[in-house]
Amino acid sequence: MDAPKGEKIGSACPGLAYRKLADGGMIYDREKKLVHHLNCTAAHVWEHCQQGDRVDEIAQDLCLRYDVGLQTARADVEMILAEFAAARLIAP
Amino acid sequence: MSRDLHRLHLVVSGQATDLAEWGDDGWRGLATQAEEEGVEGLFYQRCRAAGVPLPADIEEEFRAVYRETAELNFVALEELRGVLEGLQDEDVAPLVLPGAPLLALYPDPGCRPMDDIDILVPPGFGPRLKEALEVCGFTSPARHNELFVRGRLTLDLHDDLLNCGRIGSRRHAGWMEPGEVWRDRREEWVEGIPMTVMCREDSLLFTAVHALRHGFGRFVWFVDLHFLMREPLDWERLRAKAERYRLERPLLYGLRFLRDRLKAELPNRGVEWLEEMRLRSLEERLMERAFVDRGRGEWGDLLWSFSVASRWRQCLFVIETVFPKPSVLLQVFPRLPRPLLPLAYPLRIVQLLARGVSQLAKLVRSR
Repeated sequence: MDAPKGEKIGSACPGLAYRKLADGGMIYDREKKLVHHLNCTAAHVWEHCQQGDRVDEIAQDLCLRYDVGLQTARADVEMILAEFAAARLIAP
Repeated sequence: MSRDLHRLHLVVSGQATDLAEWGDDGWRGLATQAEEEGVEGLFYQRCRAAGVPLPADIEEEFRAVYRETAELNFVALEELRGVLEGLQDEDVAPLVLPGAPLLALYPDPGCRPMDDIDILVPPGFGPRLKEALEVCGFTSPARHNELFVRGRLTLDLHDDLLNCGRIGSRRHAGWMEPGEVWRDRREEWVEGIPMTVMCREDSLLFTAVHALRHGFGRFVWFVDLHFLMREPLDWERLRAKAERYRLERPLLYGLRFLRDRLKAELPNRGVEWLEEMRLRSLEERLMERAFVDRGRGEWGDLLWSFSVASRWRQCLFVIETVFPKPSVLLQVFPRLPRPLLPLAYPLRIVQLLARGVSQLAKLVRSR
C-alpha cells in the first residue's frame, strides 16, 4: 500500500495502546489481544502518525536522527506505513 | 559478591556515571550478576539510555528479556485498566498493592518483572468483587481461591495485608490495619492507568516486609526500596506507622542491607533512624546469614520473629510458619492429593531436613 507523499497518513485504529521503550516501542491491540513490537525507526514513525504528521515530515525527522538521505528515509517510512496498514494498525 | 552487587546496584539505579569505561571483562562479570539477580531488563535499559553498547551476545540476550518483561507487564496493565474501569462502574474499586504501582518508579515496563497483580479488597466487598470478576470471565485455579486468572492477567485478592489468614501468628509480628491503609490511600497514574494505591509510607513498609518474608530473594526488591526511599516521604508519619504496625524492624533490615551491603545513599532521616536501631547479636548473625543466603524464606521468617513482643509468641510464630495449617500446606505441595493430607506434615519435615543438610554443606564448603 503506497502512502501518499506529502499527505497526511492514516490515523491509528481504535483500541490500540502504545508504549515507548528504550529500543523502540510496543503496540497492544486490545481487541485482538496482540502485541506488536516496534524497533526505533518504526516507533518514531508511529509517534509521528499519532501526531498526524505527513510522510515528508516524518522522513525529514528520520534524516536528522539517523543520518540518512531523504529518499532512503522516505522509502523506509513508506515501507513501515505499509506494514502498519497490513497489520491493521492504521486506517486511511 | 557484595562489591559486585554494589556495582550492579549503581548501574540499575541509574547512578553509574562511568559505564563506558568498563572493559569487556567487567561487563561480562556484571552481566552474569544481573542475570542471576533477574534484573537484565533494567540493566539493558540503563545501558541503552546511557548510549553504552553492551557486548553483542549479552545485548541480544538481555534485549529478549527486556522485551518479554515489557510485553507481559504492558498486556497485564492494559487488561487491568479494563477491569478497574468495570469495577469502578460496579462501585467496588479495589486498591492495587505494590508491585504493579512500583512500575511508576521505573523508566518503563521492561525494567521490572511482575508476577500477578495484588489487589486489596475494599473492606466488606469481598463477595461482590469476586462475583464481578467471575462475570468478567476470571476463574480460580484449584486450591487457590484467592487467585483470579483471565488470559495473561492474574489477580491475587487480599483482605489482609500480611497474609495473616494463612499464618495467624503473623499478626503478632506486625499488622497493617486495612482500614488505615484505605483511609490513607491515594490515586496515582501507573503507566497511564489511573489506580488507587497505598500512600508512599505504607508502600515502603509493605515492600520491606514483603521482601523480608521472602528472605530478600529478589534483588529488585532492594531497588524498589531504594526508589521508594527517594520519593518524598513524610518521615514522622512513616515512623509513627512503622511503630503502630510493629514493622520497624522489617523496614530497618531492608535499609541496613541497602546501606551496608549495596552502599546505597539513603536520606538523612533514614540514616539517623538506622543509627538509633539496636540489634541483638543473634539478629545480627541472622541478618548476615539472610544476606549471604538470600532467597531462603526461612531466614526472613526467623528475622521477622524478632518483631514479636513475647518469647512464647515468637516460638509460636516460628512453629506456625514452619508448619502452617493444612490448606496452606496443600499449596506448598500442590501435587499431593487432598486425601493424603496427613502425609503433608512428614513431607514438610523431610523438605526442611533436606534444606538443613544443604545449608550445612554450604557452610562447610565456605569454610
